Amino acid sequence: MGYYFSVLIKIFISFIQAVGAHLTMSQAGIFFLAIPVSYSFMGYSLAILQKKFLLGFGLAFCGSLLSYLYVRVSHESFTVLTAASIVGFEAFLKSFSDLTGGVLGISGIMRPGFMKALPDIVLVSGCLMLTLVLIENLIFKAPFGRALRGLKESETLLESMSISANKIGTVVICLASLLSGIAGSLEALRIQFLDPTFGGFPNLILIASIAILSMKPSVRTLVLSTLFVVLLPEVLRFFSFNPSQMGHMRMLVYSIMLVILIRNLSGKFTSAQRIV
Amino acid sequence: MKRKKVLGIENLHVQLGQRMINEDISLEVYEGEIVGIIGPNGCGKTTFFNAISGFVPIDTGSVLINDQEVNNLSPNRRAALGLNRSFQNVGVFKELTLEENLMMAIENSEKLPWNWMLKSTTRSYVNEKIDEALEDVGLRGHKKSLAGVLSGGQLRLLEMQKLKLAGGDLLLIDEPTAGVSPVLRNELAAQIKGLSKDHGRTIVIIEHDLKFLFSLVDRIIVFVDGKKYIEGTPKEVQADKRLQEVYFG
Repeated sequence: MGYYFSVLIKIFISFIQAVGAHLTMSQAGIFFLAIPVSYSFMGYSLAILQKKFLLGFGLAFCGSLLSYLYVRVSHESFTVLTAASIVGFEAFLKSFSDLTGGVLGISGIMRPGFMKALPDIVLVSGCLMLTLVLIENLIFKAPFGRALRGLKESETLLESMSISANKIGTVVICLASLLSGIAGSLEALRIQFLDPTFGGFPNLILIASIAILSMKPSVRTLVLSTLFVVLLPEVLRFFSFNPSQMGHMRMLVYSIMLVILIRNLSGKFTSAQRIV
Repeated sequence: MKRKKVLGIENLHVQLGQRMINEDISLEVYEGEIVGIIGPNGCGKTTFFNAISGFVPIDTGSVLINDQEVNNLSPNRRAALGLNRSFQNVGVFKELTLEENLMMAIENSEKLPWNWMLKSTTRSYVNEKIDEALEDVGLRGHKKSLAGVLSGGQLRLLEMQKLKLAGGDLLLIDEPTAGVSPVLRNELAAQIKGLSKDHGRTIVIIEHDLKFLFSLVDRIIVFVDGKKYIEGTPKEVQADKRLQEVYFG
């Protein structure tokens, strides 16, 4: 039963994190690749302040909003810098071993009273996912959702309509960081162990795959993409791979899937193909 | 009666790299006026529009919208002051539906709250306005289609409706007839005239089709090498021998 609960939590957590990637990458066209940094940052904040759950959560919450600083970076270096910050944060975690446990990480993370067992985490993350389904649905119907999609097509045109492209970008980046941070904290509470590889590029590949697969401004597509991407490597369990190889196999599957997606989907969602 | 000055440009200089694109341009545009800007390719017409709307920094001089200097304002702040513009490559979002494009214009002009679509009265009001605007240009049937599926002429008509709904009192229209068939040009001209007469907009148009422009505007300004070369009514400019020189050498 624990396996099924874990898979369910993985789906819910991935969805929570993917909402941010869906809004930034797929809808606004902002290649904000630092999503795993806030995932890891919030997970570690909770782990370090594990006896003061609310303080840890509050600190991490504020920390996620620091992603605002990324907006100050020039357009040309934005994607590279956000990707580089994943490596930078991992190096920080390894270096400050007094605080973060270094390469050994932090084990035995305590869960708060209302999330003692896995079914509790299923419930909390499931409720969060449902709330986000409603919120994202609302965003797509609201001016903010249209502005996001407008930003992807033309920043100039958006500005000429008295909408600040910078403000829209800032809000969506902070939102993505925050959601990623929440997902990170839930995952940290689920596995109760963190090391510097928590988050990182494997997490980025997972979330970017979901975001690329769900290019349409539709929550249903995002849910289906999350289910597909999260459940895809579970098929590997039916083969008798060495457990130590499973992680690498999973990344291989995602990488192949990304290559196929990029090859086949590029140009499929342009207006010329979407005649109504 | 003194007319209200909607746009004022004083000694505008725009330099991009080593090249002076606009040099010492001064002009005034008054409420309800339609002013046309013509000139050979590369004479700085579009840069002039970009400088007014804030997409290109100006070196010296000043831009005044409704007597307020806007030199240091971002493009979105200038738009909020009532400056709307179209673009050479059509100012509509092709990945959004026709309905969504017009919705964005209404949201901004009427300052609708973020949750307006949850109120049925506002929803039906917005719907009615969109239907009316699309009906006006015969595009109601495409309401839910992506703007990208429209032809060049239809896109221009949609853009005009968007500008109409977007409010503001100053419109900068950049080459409206580019990619538009002769049949649709008449409709486009009627739409632009309507924006001025029925909606009281002050309009500045850049256009290469002189016949189209002369029938539409109150005043013409000719740009040559980034400078204001000739200014006058369409009749005066047409009669000016220097215009022949500019176009035919």
